[in-house]
Amino acid sequence: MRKRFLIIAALCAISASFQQVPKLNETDTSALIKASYLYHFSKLVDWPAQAKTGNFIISVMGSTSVHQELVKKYNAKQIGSQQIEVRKLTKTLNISKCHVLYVGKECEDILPDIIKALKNEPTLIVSDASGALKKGADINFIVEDTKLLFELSVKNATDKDLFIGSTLKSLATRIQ
Amino acid sequence: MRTLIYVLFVSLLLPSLAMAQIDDRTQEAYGLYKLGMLKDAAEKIDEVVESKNGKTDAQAWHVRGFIYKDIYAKLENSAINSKSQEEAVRSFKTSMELDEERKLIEMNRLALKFLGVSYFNHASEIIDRHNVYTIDRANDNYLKYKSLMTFLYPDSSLKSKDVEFHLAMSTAYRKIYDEEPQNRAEFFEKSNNSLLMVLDLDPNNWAANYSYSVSFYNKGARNLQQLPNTESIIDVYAISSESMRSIEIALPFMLKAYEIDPDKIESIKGLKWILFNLHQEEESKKMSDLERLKESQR
Repeated sequence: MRKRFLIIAALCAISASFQQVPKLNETDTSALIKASYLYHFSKLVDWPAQAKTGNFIISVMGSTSVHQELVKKYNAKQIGSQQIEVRKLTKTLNISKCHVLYVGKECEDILPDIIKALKNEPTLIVSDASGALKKGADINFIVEDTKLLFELSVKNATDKDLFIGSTLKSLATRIQ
Repeated sequence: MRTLIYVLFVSLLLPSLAMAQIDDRTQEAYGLYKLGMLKDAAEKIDEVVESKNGKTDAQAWHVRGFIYKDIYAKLENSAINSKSQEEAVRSFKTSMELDEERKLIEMNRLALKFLGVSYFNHASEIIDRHNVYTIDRANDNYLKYKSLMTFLYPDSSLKSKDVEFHLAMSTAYRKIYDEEPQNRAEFFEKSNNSLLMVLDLDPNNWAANYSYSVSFYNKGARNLQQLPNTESIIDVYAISSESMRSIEIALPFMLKAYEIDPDKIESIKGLKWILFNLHQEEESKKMSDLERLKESQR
């Protein structure tokens, strides 16, 4: 009986093509989140009057995936009346004027020098390195329980005439 | 294949009926059936089985089964959800119950097997179409197939067929969801529920573990791809938190898939991406190295 059943079962096998495993979405989700945060930081920080003309420049040093995400999804957006312009920088201390500078992990070693070089510029420095606020960064990405969050230093920002809004402060994991 | 089975058992049927002692009215219905006058044959045989004597006549129910089976196969072109198919099944089952001398047992069983396979074929066709409005009917047809097979072979296990069916249903539900993820969240749930049914039957099923993991991982990644459309940083915070929860759910199932078959490149790639996105970069790098090694060995 078992043998006969097997014959019947063989007659009615579901085609293997009906059972396909899903294709993995190979996405760097950290880059998506960081790019989105960088855009919203730009909206929630107030720059001094002299920085409110021309394009709104977001520069990225290191982290190609964050740069690509910004170019793909945010290049056409505006901050107030300023058109966003995304720039990719090589690992350098010769940094042209920008509103936001994101320094990726690959460039962590030169972060103190970058901060020194931009000391008198109204540039929001966003980093991805442990202890970066103490070194002078304004906002720093951190990971807690697999979640990508951020900490910020009001003092570092204020020293450069950057005013951090209350919404941003309320979402920061730590404020210095 | 279906035609072949049909021809085979119709040719077997004719001598069996010719030899049997049958009631005149049943004989009349059978004559109409042989002439291809299936609707008239059905009317006649319905009168027989509704009559006092016919109600308990195994032979009449047997003939009725074949008449309705042919209406289903020939007049209705083996249509899905055919009442005639159900009537045929009911008739053959009744004939088997009444056939105390077991003269008709082999023919009844053969006909029921054919009808069972037809239900299975219907389920497969519905799965293949993966139409949002009809997909759930695949379940009904599969359950009818199972019910018939269990009736015919009470000692047999249908576990491997169940696994095969639920994996196919999961794929169909996922395809429906992927067409319009914003409006079809229930199909995401249905796809995953089908996978959970497989894991309930076979916890070491590689495809189910892998698919369940990718399903949640992709959901997280897909949600994050909507971030550029958010108006507020509060939404970014909420979406990213929810997405990371989805990716966390994915991890143990991908680890299990890897444990089941450590040589499968898909699980290695899956772990590489999940661990990377959960910020476990060192572990992710190990998987990346392993992926390169496996690919160099191909």
